[in-house]
Amino acid sequence: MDPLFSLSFLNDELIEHWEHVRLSVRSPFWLVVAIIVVPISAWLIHRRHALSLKSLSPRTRFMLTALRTTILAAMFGILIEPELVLDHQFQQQPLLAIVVDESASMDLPVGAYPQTASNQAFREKMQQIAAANPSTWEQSKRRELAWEAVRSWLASPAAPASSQWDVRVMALRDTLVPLEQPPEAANLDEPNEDSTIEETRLGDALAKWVEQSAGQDIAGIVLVTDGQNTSGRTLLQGALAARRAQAPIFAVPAGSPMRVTDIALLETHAPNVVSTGDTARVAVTLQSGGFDGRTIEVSLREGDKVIETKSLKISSGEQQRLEFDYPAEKAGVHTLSIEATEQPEETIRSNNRQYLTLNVSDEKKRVLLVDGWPRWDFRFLRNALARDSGIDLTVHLTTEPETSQPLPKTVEGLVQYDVMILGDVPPSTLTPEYQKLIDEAVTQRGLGLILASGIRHLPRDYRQQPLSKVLPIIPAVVTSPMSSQGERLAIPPLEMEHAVMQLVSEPQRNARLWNDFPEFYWHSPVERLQPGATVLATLAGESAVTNPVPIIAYQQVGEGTVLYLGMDSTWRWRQNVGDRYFGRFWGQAIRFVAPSGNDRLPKERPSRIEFSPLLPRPGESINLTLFPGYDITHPLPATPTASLQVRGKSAFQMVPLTIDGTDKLRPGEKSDSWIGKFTAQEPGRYQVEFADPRFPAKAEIVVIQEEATAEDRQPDINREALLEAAQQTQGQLIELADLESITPLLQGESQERRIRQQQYLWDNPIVLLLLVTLYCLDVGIRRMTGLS
Amino acid sequence: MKRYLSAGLFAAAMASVTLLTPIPGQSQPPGQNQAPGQSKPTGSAMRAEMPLDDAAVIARVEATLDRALAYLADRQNRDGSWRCGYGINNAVNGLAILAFLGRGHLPRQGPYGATLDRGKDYILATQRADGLFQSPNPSNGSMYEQGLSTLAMVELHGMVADPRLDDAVRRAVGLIIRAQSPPGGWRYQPDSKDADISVTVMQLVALRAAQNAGLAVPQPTLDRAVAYVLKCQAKDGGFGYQPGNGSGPARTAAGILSLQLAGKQDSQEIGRALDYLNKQRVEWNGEFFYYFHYYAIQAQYQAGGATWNSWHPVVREMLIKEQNENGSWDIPPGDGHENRANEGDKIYATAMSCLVLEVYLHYLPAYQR
Repeated sequence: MDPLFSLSFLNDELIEHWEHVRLSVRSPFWLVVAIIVVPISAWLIHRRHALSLKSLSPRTRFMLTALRTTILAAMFGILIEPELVLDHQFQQQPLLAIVVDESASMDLPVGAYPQTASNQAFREKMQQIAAANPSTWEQSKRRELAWEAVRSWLASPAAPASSQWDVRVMALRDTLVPLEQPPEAANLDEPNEDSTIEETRLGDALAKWVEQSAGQDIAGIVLVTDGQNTSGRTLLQGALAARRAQAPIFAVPAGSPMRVTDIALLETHAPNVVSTGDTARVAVTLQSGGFDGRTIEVSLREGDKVIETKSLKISSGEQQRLEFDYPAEKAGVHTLSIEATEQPEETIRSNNRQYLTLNVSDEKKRVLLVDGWPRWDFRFLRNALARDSGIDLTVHLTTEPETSQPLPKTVEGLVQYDVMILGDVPPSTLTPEYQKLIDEAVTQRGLGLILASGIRHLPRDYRQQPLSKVLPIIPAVVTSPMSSQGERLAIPPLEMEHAVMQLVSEPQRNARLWNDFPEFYWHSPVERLQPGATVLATLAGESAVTNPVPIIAYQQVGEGTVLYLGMDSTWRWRQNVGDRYFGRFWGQAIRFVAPSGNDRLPKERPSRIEFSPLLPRPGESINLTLFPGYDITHPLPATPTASLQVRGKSAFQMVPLTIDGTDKLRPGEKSDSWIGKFTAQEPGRYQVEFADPRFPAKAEIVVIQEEATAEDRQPDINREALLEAAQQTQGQLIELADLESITPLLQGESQERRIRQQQYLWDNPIVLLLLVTLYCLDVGIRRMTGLS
Repeated sequence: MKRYLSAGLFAAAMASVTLLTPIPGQSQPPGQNQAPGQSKPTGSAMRAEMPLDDAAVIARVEATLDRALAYLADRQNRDGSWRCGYGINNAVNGLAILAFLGRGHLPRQGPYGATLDRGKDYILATQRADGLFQSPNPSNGSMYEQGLSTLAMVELHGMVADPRLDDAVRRAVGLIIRAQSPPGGWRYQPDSKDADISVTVMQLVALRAAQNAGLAVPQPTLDRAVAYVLKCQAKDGGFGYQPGNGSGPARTAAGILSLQLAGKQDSQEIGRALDYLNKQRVEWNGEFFYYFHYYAIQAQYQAGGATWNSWHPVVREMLIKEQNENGSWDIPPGDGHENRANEGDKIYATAMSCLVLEVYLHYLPAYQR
């Protein structure tokens, strides 16, 4: 029945309570008329056909009679107005969700519990639960023992009675999967194989289930998990959704409170871009358990070459950080790895290594930073850029002419810079004449421009000024006030990998970073976007769909690129991490709008090859972009003229290229790049070469071995997060052996509920389709048999 | 006795806020923009900032700070001031404002927009024509109040559209520059002729913050101040109150920080002083407790590496553990301030504790590396 239901126009409640649905008619009079009229009409039609259609076979005559009668009956059916009626009174129990996390980290061993006197009862209960392997329960997979505990609870006298609670057992895989019963240990899905769920979305699962359960009381959510949320909304966000629905969370840690015996490299960090000749500082954050006081070696490598090795005395329980120096000698993208020596007792080996990339450039960008006020964005940005050895910085602060460099007075002066960053500058500084100089420098000479909005002047005061010609947006007439409510950014998924927006190479982590940035309290209102502009970020919330407010947008204006930033507090992105993402964003934005090459004349640009992702895995498609050092003007060459040679250890292939933006170019317009794709099946180094002797270019791509997933990097039970989720919802943290103690804590009572629903059967497209089909059949048969 | 101890407390408060900022770069032609007093690192091998990556720890720190700020906001007077052990004093007013700013709150926006607006208006209203922020209930040294108030107002400069701020910070900075004494440092009063490390470091921080905000600060003023701090270093590596005095932990932490922010991170003087500092015990006890910890955590943060890794978790956990139910902190035993139930002392202690924990947030421009 289910497939039929899904095709029908019935609402969910009717389907759910189908056994209580009855058929009714709204116009009994027409029913009586139909009962009388339809049989008589059928007999009359039959008689008439017998007299007037003698030439037809009896079977055809019968068919025509049946069709006419059916059409007539269907028309009466509409007049009768049949409907389905549901009037059902029943007891509805509060929902009780029992969710067991089945992500990859739940395949780790439960782990050793402290052997203390106070723990003795707990240990004995765990041995009872793990009836199959009572002596080795601490070596069981967390997932298996979790299910054993749930099954043991539901089979016990303390189980929540089905008469009282509507118990839903679910496994958290990619999404929440409802199960009829907790799986037997022997019947666990692929019991001998590891889980393939490489992300844990606890926050998403909780929020979604609570949303789906709207309208029904929730007695509680029993969440059996290791508490490691590696993707989507945070566990706390999920808990807040549960709190809004008054659903207490009973958080059950599925493992030992002691740290897993392991050393994990949690995160690496390197500067966005460094210049050749620099020494780049590369950092790694480690977390460990079980090796307190032991000294290990951690090394920075490039391929097989060890760049630097450092000793680290392990301090269990705290994250530790090490820094390495990398001498940046050769321009290009360098793939580095950081490796901690494996210890024999370690639970997970794959998390002892992490890869990262470092972009070494032989270009220096000349940046002119202009602001009207010493805003925090200005103060942090100036110092971050002053520290960036790939940038030559000049600063002009209009409130401090004594300590500032004067602004260039000519276009030639402006184009001595690659990029101009305009902050909240008053119109008294940027006169209409000066704005025209900027316009010319951007549109005709390729000056990159970044406009960082401010509450006083920019962009509102330049709404109908010459500067507005290059703006990617048209500012609203009125500025928005400071808000007491925080706002967040929404990044369109396709733009998450944009050169400006990619703060880390791992896409999911990048999305999470943007999602987790602190709220801000002011944005510049926008009347509309310019037709050629691309939006990289909008204001989050309902408006992101209905009426998106651009916050980060850019457009190409003649020879130059202009990037618009509609907020004044990127300094908030420094929270907890300092310049890490703040500096990366601004560095990427500057390099994105800066003209490529050291000179703006196309004939003097060196060719270069870029690729993404920067850390490709075997089997992953790699996007190649060739900037050939010359402009490609529409109309395009009739045949493709460019290709790249890709050489691996045991592979050679030619990658054909197409011109980037072919479909968007109009006659006379230019593109500066070719694009292509290739896939490497094996890890290793691949040399990519553009063999045109006039514009040669080379790049090296390192296809990395599989590395640890986010699940592997955080193997410990996150009790703090579970406790927080429980406390936020008036729930409790419950140990795995004590699930029975949840039953008396469940809230809510069965409630009398009455559902009254009715749904017309005649007023839907199926009836219309039926009538049209019958009529067409009737006409068709008549035509085929030569009747008029 | 109590007055003496309170003075010490204030010295701690004021000096503790003097987290030095890297000196901002003056505008120069392309390629020559280098901060005065700050050697541009070779390539990109600048000291990377030390983030706190552990989400669970971050959540605890933020929750602790939010409780503390709610306490401070609740205790604000209607006129925008806070009442401390002295009565109403701009040093504590400045500290409280900095505590909010350090969590990313700003006037006229967010949950504490009105609190900060009132606090700013109060301090601005106390400024005299010569630039001094005159406290209604001054301590025995008005330059303490001046350093902290100036720092708070400089940090607000540019972040709120208040035309009074622009003139106020210029006059305040001008007074500090004029008040430099012949030895190169500063003392309790604007017209003092001698100096001590505590008042000096506080003025140094305010001047660095002003320079970071683009205000003109004569380089000789800063150079003479740094020279004075160096003269206060004792033979054991620690720093004394005045040249020739014996060293003390809190003064040593202050001395280290001032040299670090002067661009001498790798100097021999800092190395010796850090060795001295690392011998000190971290415990809920001790003389000038908040003064010491505020400077010490900043000095360790600036030093980075192993010394930071081993220092900050202990201080953080101690402060989180000792926070009162209502979000405040007490003065610990042994600090020298016996009246631990005094609400005014709690305002000071709470603002200081916030500033210690806010080392993780990286928000105040004056504190950036």
